[in-house]
Amino acid sequence: MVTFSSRTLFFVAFVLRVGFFLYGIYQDEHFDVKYTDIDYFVFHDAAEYVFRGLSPFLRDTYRYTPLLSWLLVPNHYLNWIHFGKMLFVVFDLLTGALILALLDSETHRKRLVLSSIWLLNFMVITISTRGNAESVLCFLILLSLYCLRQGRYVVSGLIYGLSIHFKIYPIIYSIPIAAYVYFNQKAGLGALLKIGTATLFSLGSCCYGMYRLYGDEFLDQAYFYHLYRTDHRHNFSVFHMLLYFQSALPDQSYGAQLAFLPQALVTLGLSVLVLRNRSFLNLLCILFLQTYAFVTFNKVCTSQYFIWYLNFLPFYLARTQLSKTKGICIAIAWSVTQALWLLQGYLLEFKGRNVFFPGLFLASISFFLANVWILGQFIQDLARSNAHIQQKKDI
Amino acid sequence: MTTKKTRITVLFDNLQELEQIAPDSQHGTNNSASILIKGSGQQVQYRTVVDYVGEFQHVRITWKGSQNTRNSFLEAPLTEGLNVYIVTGEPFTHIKRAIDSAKYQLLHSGYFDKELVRRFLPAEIFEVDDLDWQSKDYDITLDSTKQRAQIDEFYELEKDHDQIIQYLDSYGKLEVGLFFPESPDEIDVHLNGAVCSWNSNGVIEQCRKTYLFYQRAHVTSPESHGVPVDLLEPVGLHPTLSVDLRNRSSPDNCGYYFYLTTPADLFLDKFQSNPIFIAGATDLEAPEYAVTDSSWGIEMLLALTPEKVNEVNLHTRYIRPQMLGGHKSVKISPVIFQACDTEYDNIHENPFYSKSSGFDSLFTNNTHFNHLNTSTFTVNIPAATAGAYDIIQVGTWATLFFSTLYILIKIFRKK
Repeated sequence: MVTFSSRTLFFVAFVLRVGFFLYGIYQDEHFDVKYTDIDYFVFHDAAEYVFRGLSPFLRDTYRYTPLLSWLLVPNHYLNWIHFGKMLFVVFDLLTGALILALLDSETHRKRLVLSSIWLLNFMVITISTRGNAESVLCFLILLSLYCLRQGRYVVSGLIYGLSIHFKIYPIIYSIPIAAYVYFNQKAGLGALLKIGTATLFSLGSCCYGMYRLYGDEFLDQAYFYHLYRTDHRHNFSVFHMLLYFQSALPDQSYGAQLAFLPQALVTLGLSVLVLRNRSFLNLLCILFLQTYAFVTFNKVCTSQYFIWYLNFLPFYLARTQLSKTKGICIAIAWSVTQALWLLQGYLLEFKGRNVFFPGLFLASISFFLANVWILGQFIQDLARSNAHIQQKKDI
Repeated sequence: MTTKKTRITVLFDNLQELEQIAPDSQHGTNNSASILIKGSGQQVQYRTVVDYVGEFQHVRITWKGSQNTRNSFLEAPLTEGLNVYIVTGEPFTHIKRAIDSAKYQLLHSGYFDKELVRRFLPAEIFEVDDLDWQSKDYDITLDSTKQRAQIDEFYELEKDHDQIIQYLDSYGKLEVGLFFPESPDEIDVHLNGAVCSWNSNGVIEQCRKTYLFYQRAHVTSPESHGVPVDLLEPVGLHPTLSVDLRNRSSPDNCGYYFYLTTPADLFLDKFQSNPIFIAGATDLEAPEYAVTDSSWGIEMLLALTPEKVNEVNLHTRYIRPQMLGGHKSVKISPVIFQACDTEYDNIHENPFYSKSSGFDSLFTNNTHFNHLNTSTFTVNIPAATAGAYDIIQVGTWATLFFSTLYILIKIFRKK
């Protein structure tokens, strides 16, 4: 139920987004450095090809589902480049609404505070108003989970399949979701079959439809590219320097092909935690940890990837038993090591300084280690929290 | 079977200078065998034409040394460095590493790459070692249709050094033109003087008064410094060139343009900058070492807007790590010019050069070019230290191993 307070929260969230959105238009017109994300121009250009009846893949570096370009076709009908950003802001607000809805077991005040982490988060607002499409994916994932909690397995599966079609990475949620459904007393194997079939149907039909329309280019650009890409340009990932050298000096490299292995081990390993507590909120916490691990161990990592786990953060915080001191330490570790990396990135990107080694290398390692330590603390905290719940049940 | 002709053209500043230097020979009397010219910076075009029956590609090779800054009625404005323009015709065959431009394929080198020249200039026509590339510019055309090679050398006579022009057997038929300019304007060129020819005995046969009149396609504006071009600081990985056209307006038949050929270390985002023409290494993501096998660089032409400061945003590619790291210096020489339509359909050719390479091939034959700025800038691109690779590999994998272990322990420990 929407109360006055949650209306106020949404009103403030909406006003903030409108403010950022309008400021973005102003900055784009009056400053050399544009507010609008460079990728948004890629979506916009791809949508223009669609508008003209052509393939969005004619736009260099468009490596997404064609559905995304379809969403932005009104940019060209209306002859207004910013329409798509408004759409992303709507998805961003709807994601906030879903977070609020999924937190309904908490007290009203706690729900508002926790959902503010998304709704009033300047990073989230900036990313969606700059024209980044992550909010669409966040919305789809949470909508799928909302339907799952309602026991609408087919609808949930259909939306989940669509989210995987949108971007491959939500596939990592399939094991914990399957385990949750299977071990759920009310659901069991039948429900698992329903959600599994619906997911495969949705994913398969979307991919088949796009393949029929755009052929091999769709498969290559939207999917295969992400498997063989070598991200040689600097980014937060611990793999950056390794991949840069590997692309330039393949004869002297070893192991870069195995970069996926630590990520797979950690991400899959986290699925085990579903078995320790089969509640829906625990599932959301595990999805948070999985996403955090996936982003931390990924071959490429930029700021927008943080959004992937930010939409699950409120659910984790709803159950956390972390002390304030530890929470502050975690925030400091994340911010300081990231700032260290950003300084090196700034010196390289904008000053042309050669800081690859040791500056950027050590900064990447520091940020990675900080994230690993933070992830460890989260896992430990969740285990403690689950034990505490179990203890209560036993009593 | 080859036949050869040599034509030497010397351009004096004025009539007085011309008369002082070679009065006798100029009038073709007394069986003179030579012309003596006292050097004072006169511009010289030394043209050799060889009719050669054989197999060769239709090619134009130009060389402009970075220190040669001549501006002459005799020489087309050449692009910096060594440029090879190859017309492949049908069927089209891609030359390895060449830029596929609109009318030719372009290979480039920042230095005088003799091997590259030898690939296209048959030794039977001209021996590369005979080219004096350190002090001269070259414009060499091999016309496979006419089975003819034309080698133009451009240089200046050194001050206070005498140059004696006399017949040599290697010249074939020799002709010498001695000219000075008369009231040239923006387009029209009037050259007054004489043309002398030698007979087979090595004696000047005759010198006849000659008056040349033609329209030239290229002019370097006397206000060439009036259009400031700057590489904005800090340069970083995204060099931005600013072209200040605030004091420039444009008539209806004219436009302002930015032309650049650059090695693949740099690129232009065609979606960001909307160029009129772009060819070569246009990939927006690949590092330099991944694109140079297919193309040595990129060629671009952009329209500029008068009455404002224009910014051209370039981007650097990642380059191959170097043993000691540091930076790789890449020189870029953008050409800023005004192009205007004229009523002269034959402006593309004159007695000394013809348009057919570089940006002029992207315009119609009746276009006149006013060069506004041709500054050279250096962009320093950081290169990772190759010597640190072992530390990076060991460091990264050790970090990953222990981190993975740490997380797995956390997962499988119950508390």
